[in-house]
Amino acid sequence: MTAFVARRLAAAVPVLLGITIVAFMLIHLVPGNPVKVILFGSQATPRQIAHLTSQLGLNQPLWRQYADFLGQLLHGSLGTSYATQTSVAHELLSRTPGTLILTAAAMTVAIVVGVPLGVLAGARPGSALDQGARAISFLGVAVPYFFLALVLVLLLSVRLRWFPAIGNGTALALVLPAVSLGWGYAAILTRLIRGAIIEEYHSEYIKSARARGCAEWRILLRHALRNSSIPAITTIGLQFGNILTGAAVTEVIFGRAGLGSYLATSITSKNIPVVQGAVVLIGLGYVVLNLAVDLIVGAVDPRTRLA
Amino acid sequence: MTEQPWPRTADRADGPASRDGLASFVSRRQLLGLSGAVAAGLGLSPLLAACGTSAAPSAASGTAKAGGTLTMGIAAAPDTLDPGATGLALTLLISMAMFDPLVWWLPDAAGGSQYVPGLAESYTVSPDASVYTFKLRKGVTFHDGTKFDATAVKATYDHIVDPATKSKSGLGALGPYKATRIIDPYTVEISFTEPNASFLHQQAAGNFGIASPTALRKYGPTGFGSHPVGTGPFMFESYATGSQLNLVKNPRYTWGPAALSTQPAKLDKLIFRIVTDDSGRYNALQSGQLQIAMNLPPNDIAAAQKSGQYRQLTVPSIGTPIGMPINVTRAPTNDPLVRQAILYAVDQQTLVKDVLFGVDSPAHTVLTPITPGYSQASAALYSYDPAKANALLSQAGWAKGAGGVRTKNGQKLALNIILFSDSGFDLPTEFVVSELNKVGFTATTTVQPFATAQGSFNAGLHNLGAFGYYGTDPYLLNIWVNSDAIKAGFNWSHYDNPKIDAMIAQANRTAGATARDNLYEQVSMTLMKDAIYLPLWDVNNPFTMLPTVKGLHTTLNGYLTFHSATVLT
Repeated sequence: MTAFVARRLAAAVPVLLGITIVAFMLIHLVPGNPVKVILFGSQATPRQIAHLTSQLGLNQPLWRQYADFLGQLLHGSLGTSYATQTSVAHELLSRTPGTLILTAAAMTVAIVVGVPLGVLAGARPGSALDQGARAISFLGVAVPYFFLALVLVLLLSVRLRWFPAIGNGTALALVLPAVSLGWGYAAILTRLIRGAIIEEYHSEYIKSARARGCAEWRILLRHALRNSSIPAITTIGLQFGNILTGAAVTEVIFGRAGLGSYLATSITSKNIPVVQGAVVLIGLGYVVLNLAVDLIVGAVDPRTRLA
Repeated sequence: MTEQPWPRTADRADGPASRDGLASFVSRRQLLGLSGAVAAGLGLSPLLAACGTSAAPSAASGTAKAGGTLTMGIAAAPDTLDPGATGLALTLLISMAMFDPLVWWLPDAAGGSQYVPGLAESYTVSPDASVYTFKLRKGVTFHDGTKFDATAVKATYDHIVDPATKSKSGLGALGPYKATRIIDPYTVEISFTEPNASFLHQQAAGNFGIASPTALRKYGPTGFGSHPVGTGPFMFESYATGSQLNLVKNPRYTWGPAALSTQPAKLDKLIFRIVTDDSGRYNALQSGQLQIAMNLPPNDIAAAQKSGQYRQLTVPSIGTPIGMPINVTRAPTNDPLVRQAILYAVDQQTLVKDVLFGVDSPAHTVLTPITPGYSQASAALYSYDPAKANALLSQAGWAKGAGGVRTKNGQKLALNIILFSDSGFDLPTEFVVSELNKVGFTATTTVQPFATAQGSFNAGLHNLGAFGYYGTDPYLLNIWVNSDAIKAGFNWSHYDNPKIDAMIAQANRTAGATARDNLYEQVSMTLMKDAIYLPLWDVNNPFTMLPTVKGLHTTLNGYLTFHSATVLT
């Protein structure tokens, strides 16, 4: 087990290296000089522009700039943000908790809503409950989260004033963003679990459990759900990137400072150190999350456990 | 003091226009604002228009209760809290609550502007505008207890020019700075290597708020940006990065200008809440989390006014209005007749009324009316006259062809328009294109990320671009019309006129305000005659607030001061 984890973490190194190279090339391929973005409106003379360009090392060959970045990274530094002159690590880490809390809350909504709905619908396919669950999940998949977010704000914040329209540090302010971001994933989970449960119900082992006189709830939860949850867990892991994208938009709508919105604005302003740093951090998060998914799947289903 | 509607204008900053950069760059207003973004300077005259319910001066300070917390929603995160280092106009709004300038430049009651003593009791300017001597006020202390004297002034200016500070707008605004010399503990002399008549406007614009020398030493050139210490009415309390900045009242503040308040602030707490989404700010105002929302988009402002529940304060901007640089080197706009036809073909009045919901004002020249050196004559050059535009195009050899598009030698009269994303130009550009279509142009519009668009503008790939610049002194024209700014700077018209370069330099060597304004008026006239810029609208910085917010003053750079602000809760 330890060896497995260590191997997987070691495998993350080339992955991270790969994504930094791709991200580095992409941001440099986009035309435009970050110095001019920084100095736009600052009464900068061409000489000042040239000076800052060389100060930031932007006149160096690309491989050199990349090597400098890697060198810094090995020393545990992500560099300094062009926009704020503060350390990128500080900028990113101060925004990471906000994004983690939002994605975790959205995932909680997805699981709390999606799993029971999927189980109930799958246990009684064709029932009124199933019809209802399918309608809800259909809407969840069809309605974009940002649209849902705007409708919820209009209704519950502006009209009824039950929830704050922007984040204010309270748990109450987390409800609307979590629901709007998590609802779509709840819908996906509902459909996945419903389908899997229906399939499992036709399995021989379920029949044999029934023949043994096992209680129906036990069959559903201990046997059918357990075996149905593998694709669901894997899907949750794979959806991490999507959720992060969704979090960026959700953060903007609800005025929350987070990683996603910060990365988006840094890309358009060519704040290269921030983009690099965020790519490393998010890549690392992705690798860790996928590892966690593998471990959880292994725990839930011993058949998939690796030697 | 009573609240006076002052004129305020846009702010300055130099900053990018874009959203934030980023984030800043973000919203349309922001952009506008910055876009303009750009920045710089401060405003001139005070005009302020109070719309909607008026921002009446009434209740302001006299009757309202002291205390309380005022939360204002702003569209972008400050890049730093150090006014000397910032590149964002928005930071100046914040810094003016925490810092005092040597000399304030404020709107006067008559709608003009006046210099008012700040941390300096008086000042003198050498006849060639290259040496400024300030007599400093006694009895002022910084938030950290440090005594204010000449060493603080020197430390502040040394800090701005220190390469380690990486100052953006402040350094640019200082121009040919030479040195700050302490003559005695309360007399300081700031000198320039060549005449720099724009300095008095610049030093009041917000970048040059005097910083605590103790804090500068303690936190270092970039660390000060996270631990700002000034002498202003509010003190830094905490900043949650990208989210919320909390300031608290400075109980010792008694050196404010009479026009703002000579007493400590009435508010206990002033909070700037960063909400980049435009409708997010309006939602938060409606649901009660904000008392003031800055830079709402025009449609939300129109809705807020219609609801009758909010007070609207708009502050005119100072600098170059939002508009489109016309590339004088790329066909077909390399022909002056074609450029003039463009200026005749676009009706800014209708643009402002129909597309911008009447929030901004139509622009007709290269400077906004409150900017020193504004030329009324140049603004009158091109009235809306499509017939004249048609005649000019025909005269230039472009004949109407199929579908109403003009052609010459088999070439269509086609314009390449390049915009940057989130610039607030999308709808206005559609309007401009429809106006141009009427007189026989065809146009393609491309929207690029800000950094990419800048590259395109420098390379001259466009016929029409997007621009706007806040600046308190008309010397800002040098930034975008000087011939040395074509390849790397902001001369996106690709205008190369040595006479204009020389005239602007001469104006900045002229200490007398009248003579200087006169020169800038001539410059404006030439630029408009050469038709290098299509002015579209003068930004009015909008602040939408609950009627319970009182006692705000507008500034010449398009912002607000909170010296005597109150809010009923």
